Amino acid sequence: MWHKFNNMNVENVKSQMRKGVLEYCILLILSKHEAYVSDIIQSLKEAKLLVVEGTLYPLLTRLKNDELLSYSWKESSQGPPRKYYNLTEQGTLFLGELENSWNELNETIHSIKTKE
Amino acid sequence: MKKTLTINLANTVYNIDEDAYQMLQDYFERLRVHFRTEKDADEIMTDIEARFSELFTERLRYGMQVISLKEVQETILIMGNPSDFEQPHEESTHEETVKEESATTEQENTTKKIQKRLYRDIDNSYISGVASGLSQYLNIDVVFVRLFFVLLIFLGFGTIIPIYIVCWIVIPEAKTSAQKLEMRGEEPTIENIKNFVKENVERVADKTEKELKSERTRNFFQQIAEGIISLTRGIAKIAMALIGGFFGCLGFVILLSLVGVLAFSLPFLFSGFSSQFMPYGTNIYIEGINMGALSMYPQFVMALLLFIGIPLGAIAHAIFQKLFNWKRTSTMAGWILVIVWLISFGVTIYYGLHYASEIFLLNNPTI
Repeated sequence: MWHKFNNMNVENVKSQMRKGVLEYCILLILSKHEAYVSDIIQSLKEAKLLVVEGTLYPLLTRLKNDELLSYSWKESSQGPPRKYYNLTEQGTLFLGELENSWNELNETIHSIKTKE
Repeated sequence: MKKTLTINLANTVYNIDEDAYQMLQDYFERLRVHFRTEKDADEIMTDIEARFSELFTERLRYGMQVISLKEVQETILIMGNPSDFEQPHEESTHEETVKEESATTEQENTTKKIQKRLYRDIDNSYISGVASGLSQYLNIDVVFVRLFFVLLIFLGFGTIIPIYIVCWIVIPEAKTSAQKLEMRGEEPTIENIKNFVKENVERVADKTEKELKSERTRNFFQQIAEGIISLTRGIAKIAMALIGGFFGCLGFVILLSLVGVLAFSLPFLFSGFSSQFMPYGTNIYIEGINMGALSMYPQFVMALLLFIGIPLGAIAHAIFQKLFNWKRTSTMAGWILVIVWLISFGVTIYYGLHYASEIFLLNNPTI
């Protein structure tokens, strides 16, 4: 029983970590070039950050509502037009801040790990 | 073999199996509930639908034409269930599930009572479902309604039979699930229809099981009772058909006589002179009272025939419609007939009074 609970706890922490960096990763992907949802999904899945795709949609809409992202419709050679997301100016600033805190976190973890 | 439906998903048309459609519909409904607190929930749904469309197209690439249950299951697995969504801003997963649960109970409670509509309940019908439809409408047990009908007949109120037939024709049957819900006074939302269908499927399954069981355990007396019931049911149906046929014939005869009267009396209407078919002197005597000649009051006769003929004709038409699967007449024609009928009613009363006084004078020449 205890063992099971422990396992669940591990999963929970892991998913919390993923959640924490998901927004950061989306902004990172979009900082390189604009992308439509399937591209973003592809990249995130390759990085094993996304378990189910449904997570992404409310997130993208929220980021858009916070004016960190914007999108434009582009025609596609196959099927209907696609929504291409790109970073706004505000989004770039936001990403910079996230980058800083990520580096700080990394350093902290690194220093804790290497500390005797 | 399966029935397929055509759906429009993000502006692309897909053929989808019925069961797969049900599953997809169900899934989207759950997503909608999940995202209802979100700002721009509609946009999220549109995006998700677009992604579904994309994933379906990928799966249809190899010559398949129809989305089946398998494809929908796979795609839902990729998209994930609302409970699997990871939400960066949520407070705790526990709270979320509690919220979700309260949301679903909230939804169940929205089985709002709306204005009931009177339909014939053909699922629980004995003859045509008029009684069970009425029982739904009035919230009374159907047994009492049927007993009331039968009692009326035995007490000598035979007029209930034509009234019943008129009800049969006039009250529409509840065919679709939405109509059946309206009959019960519940709002025909998707959620309600789903519950209703589920309930019904269970009920039918129950019924067949019971019937299978009873098949084995029925004893001699039960068999006799059932025989009597099915016999009376058969007789009742034949009686209904006969009565219907009688009304049909009566309506037909009256329609014919109406045409006849038209032919006989049109000359009178326009000229006021006698016709060779109706010479002036053919007075009718009823029990020694001189009623004058019908040709004296063509307006009255015509109005009277219309007044009686239109309802009977309508009944005849409805019966023929049922028997021979005629096309439904437009409501426009129905309204025109109702208006003509009302006019004929007024004219009948007007000329009725008018000629009653004339007949009175005719029979009391001394006054």
